[in-house]
Amino acid sequence: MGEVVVEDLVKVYRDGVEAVKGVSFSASRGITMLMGPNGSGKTTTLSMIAGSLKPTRGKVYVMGFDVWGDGWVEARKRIGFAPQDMPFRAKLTVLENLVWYGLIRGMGLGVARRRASELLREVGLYEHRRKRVEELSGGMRRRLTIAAALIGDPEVLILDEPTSGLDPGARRGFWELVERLARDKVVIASTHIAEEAEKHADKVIIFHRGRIVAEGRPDELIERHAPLARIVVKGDLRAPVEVEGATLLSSSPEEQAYTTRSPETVLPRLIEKLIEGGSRIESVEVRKPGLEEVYLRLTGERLEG
Amino acid sequence: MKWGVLSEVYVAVKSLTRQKGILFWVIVFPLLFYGLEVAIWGNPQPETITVGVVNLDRPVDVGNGTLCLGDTFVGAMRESGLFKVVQFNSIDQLKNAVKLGRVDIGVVVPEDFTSQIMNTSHALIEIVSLKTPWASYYESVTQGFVKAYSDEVRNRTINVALTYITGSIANNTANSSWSIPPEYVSYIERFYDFIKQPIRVSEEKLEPPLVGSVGGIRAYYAIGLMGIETLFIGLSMGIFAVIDMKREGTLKVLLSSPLKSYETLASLTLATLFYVGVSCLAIYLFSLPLGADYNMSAGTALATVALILVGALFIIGFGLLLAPAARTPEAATAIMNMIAFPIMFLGGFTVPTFLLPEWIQKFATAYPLSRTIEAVRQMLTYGKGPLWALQYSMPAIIATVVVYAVGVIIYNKLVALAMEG
Repeated sequence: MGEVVVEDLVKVYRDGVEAVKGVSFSASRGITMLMGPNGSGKTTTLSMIAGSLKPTRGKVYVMGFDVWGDGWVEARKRIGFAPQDMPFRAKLTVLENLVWYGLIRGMGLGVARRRASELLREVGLYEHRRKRVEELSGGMRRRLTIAAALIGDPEVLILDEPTSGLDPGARRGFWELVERLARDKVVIASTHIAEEAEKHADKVIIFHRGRIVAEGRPDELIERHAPLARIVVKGDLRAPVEVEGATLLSSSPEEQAYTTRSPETVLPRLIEKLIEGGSRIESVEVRKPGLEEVYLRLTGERLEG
Repeated sequence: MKWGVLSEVYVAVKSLTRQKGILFWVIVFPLLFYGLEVAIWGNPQPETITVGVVNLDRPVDVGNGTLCLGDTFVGAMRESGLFKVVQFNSIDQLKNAVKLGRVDIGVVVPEDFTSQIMNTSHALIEIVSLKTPWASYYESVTQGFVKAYSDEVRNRTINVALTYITGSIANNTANSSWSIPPEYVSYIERFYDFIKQPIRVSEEKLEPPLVGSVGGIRAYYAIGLMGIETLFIGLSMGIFAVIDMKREGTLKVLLSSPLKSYETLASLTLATLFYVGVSCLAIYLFSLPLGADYNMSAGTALATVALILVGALFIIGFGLLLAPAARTPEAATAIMNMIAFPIMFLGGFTVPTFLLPEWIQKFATAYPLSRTIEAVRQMLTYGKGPLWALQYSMPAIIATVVVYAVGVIIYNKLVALAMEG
């Protein structure tokens, strides 16, 4: 049993759109990522967990408290929620915005100010505390978002597409920060970037059209649903070759692609045979399977950004 | 000509009817404003003057019955169409009503009114008015009426005298040596003096506690401006409460926080009261060096804060009642303008209530925010006490409790609706 338990969650909007169709999962300490393309129901699910969107049906328990039942106040005290575009007050400074979030979380002014200063130091924004939020770069704003979500020292951190719009470097930096600041918390985040989920999630829940199609550790999911690596050979190529343990995926005079469960064993024999067959090899690339392939296998659709 | 230069004209033409904000500011607002101006100031002067009358006149025997010219005078006032007559039993009651602005002007008919005229002695009508710039209009109309009535009395007296003199001459023509008897001379002199102006007017100018002075007038308008600020700030908060939070995204954050719905409303209300307070304080402080003179004491100051608080809470609640119609920020703006500007005029904030037509005065007296602001005016410029002000505002206080409570219910419903997605 996890610290966050979601049971048969359904959301039908007033216009009749069924965004989430019976979702159940649990999340424990560490990073759980809901992965799926836009419109797959991730944001709706997170909003229902965070308490900002009422489910049509189903239950959400946070640390044993029913988010939509009697224990809603206790549940919400334990939640730090950062929606996709974390709202900040335009006329307030970075520090003042965090203080405002602290006040919302029920802190006194002095406590909120102290906690806000601490957090700004931790996320590396203390020297920018007097700036307006609009003066911050995208990456800085995301760090401030983390600080705002953490200000009430919640046990559960909910981050909706927290790295959307960031470059890979900034994304990496963001997740390092989350791993450092929230290592003892339950972090539930959403993403549409497979690589991000693969690298930073302890558990991945794959969403497709309002339903969960798979969940587990990233390596488990890959092993279970897309175990084959892809070897892509480029150059002036002759006929494809047959090697034990490899299957030809596609072939052209310039490029051949093979899939294999053990690329380390197959690759030397494949190259040897190609050269023997008269091919001139310019490059060889081994693409290890990832969550992108898992998604493709499970849904028949690509996970687009 | 490049068609490109007309591109914005095209957009403007297309936007005029589709964008409610533009439609309001371009067409609805000027029409509304003009309509109000005509309604308020379109007539050069108020149509009727409310006159308070104390008729102390005693009837006089005239052979075949009694005559009371005081009653005739009051009746003529009523029939003239110029006045709405309100009768009082005592001069003190009358003066009090004039001071409080319940009547525009006061008239006292003395107890010897008829007997004086019957004796061809001057009768004296007393006019009681406030020493204010706008009282002069009421005075001149009332004096004009008294003069006309006086002329009527003169004409009748002359007719009676002519009949008598003609008879006397006829009886005495045979006597060529007839002359006016010496005992009649003083009578004739008094008669001529009488018929110059049978009814005279004496005036008593009441000194209003403050409002009659320049300082009082400036305080009067400053208090009105406080009412306008309360109106706009409070109404805006009420109408925009939920729609703004939705637009800014703060609603999501608040909903996921441990704050209860009524706590978020309380937070918004407090923020609004803060703005209202700052605004009123700024107006007050700004008005002082400009010569505003307030009847300020610890009691009146405390009552002023309480009454403005009541007014602000009412208008916040009133705004919340309108919030369900504000489904978009544009709709909210249009509703805000549509409601706030008429109330600004109808509520007696910009123009002194007594200068407004009677039907608007009724609204200004009944509308809770106007009533609380009027109570503040009565305290700070007319010198009424805090207890009187609170008592006067009691209907507004009750209305505020009801309207704000309904507003809270509506707010909770809107938040619940937003939570549904």
